[in-house]
Amino acid sequence: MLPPGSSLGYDRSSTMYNPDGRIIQTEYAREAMRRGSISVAIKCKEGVVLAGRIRASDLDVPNSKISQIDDHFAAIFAGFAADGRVLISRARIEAQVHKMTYGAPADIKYVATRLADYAHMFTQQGGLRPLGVGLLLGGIETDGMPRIYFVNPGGGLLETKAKAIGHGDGVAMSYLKDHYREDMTLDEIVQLAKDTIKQTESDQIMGDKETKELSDKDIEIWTISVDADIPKFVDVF
Amino acid sequence: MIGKKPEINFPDYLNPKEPIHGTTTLALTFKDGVIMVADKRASAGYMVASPRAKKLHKLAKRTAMSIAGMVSDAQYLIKLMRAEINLYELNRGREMPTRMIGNLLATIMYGQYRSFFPYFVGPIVAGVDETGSHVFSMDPSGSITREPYTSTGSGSPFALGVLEAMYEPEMEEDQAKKVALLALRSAIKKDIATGDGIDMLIITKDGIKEVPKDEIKSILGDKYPLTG
Repeated sequence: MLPPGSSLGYDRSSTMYNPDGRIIQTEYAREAMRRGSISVAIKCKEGVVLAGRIRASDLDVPNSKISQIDDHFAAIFAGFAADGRVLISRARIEAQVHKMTYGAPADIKYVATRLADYAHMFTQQGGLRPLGVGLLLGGIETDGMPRIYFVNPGGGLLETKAKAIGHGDGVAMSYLKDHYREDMTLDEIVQLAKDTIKQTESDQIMGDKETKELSDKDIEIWTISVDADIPKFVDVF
Repeated sequence: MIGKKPEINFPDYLNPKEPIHGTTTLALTFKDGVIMVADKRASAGYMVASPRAKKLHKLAKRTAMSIAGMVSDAQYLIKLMRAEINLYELNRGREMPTRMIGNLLATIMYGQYRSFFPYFVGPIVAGVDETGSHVFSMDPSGSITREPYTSTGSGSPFALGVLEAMYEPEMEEDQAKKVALLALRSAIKKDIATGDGIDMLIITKDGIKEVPKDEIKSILGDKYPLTG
């Protein structure tokens, strides 16, 4: 008899359901995402903010957590940096191919869907491991409105107003739920993003409820404003 | 061997510098949108292959395409574009702009040209979207230009002559219809591969409207019937 709570070996393949209808490898991949440093995306009527906690030793030059995908949107990820980098480079290629094909910038939702399709492939093909990364795509959609999309390791796609992924995301999400309002200004959501990340910091120090003061180099922040001049078409005639 | 060009002998009719034969289609922009006109004759050399060919095709709610050239390629491209537009609109949840439809067709035709078997079609894509009224002229090499008015097919030099003389920007609908029909009439009278009737579409922000035959007759007045 296997002990209760055992996965009965159903976690050994990413292409097999367990009797409860779960794919346990994909759930583990979500855990890999939650081990990454915290990433936050928040939108308001004025624009979008992406913010992430930078974790690096003093000797390393830290990698950027936020990457520009095209003129009108950027991405931030939590989880395996290598998987994140691959998704970012795919997103950039999708955005450029769209401009070449249609003569118009790609919708953020289109790129997010293509990335989700790609992530989903890893959950069905034998011998592959699901991506251990979650991605938040945020920016100004081609209709001129701020938008945020979340791509998860299972290939799921979600539109959101405010989301936190990575280490401490439970604390961060409850903080966001309590403090987010749709009528916030861009400055206010920048502050909210910083505060949210600080909340997770206090949670990480066991037994110590005092919030550690994070310096600017610990948090990377990008804002994208609806006032940004984004061309509707980039065609050649 | 390095540097040797591949020797592929295209038949003359695939030379994209030659005008595409056997039709006249034209499109022009006016105050409220776009007008498209085409004849109904399908020719095969000196023979009339069909007197009831359909050369104006709706692609989307406010975008249509005219075709000149090889009928099979043209019909395939219409089906392909409709499929692309349906997928675009289902996936994105909004109408595909005329400008994107034009760009996409040019991209598809360029890709085919670069694989040595171009689509032998001279399409016009015309319509109305949020950025305005558009007439796009294309050729088998995949080039695309935006024009206030244009014409394709063997009769296009005759139609363009009339358009050059009579076209004015921001015409009212009645005047624009008359200019378009007179241009096509000129091609019907002078080009042997153009004739057998007229199809006409009016595209405005509200959609595509087919102009009935009786109305075409009354606009042309004593310039109808077209022969003689």
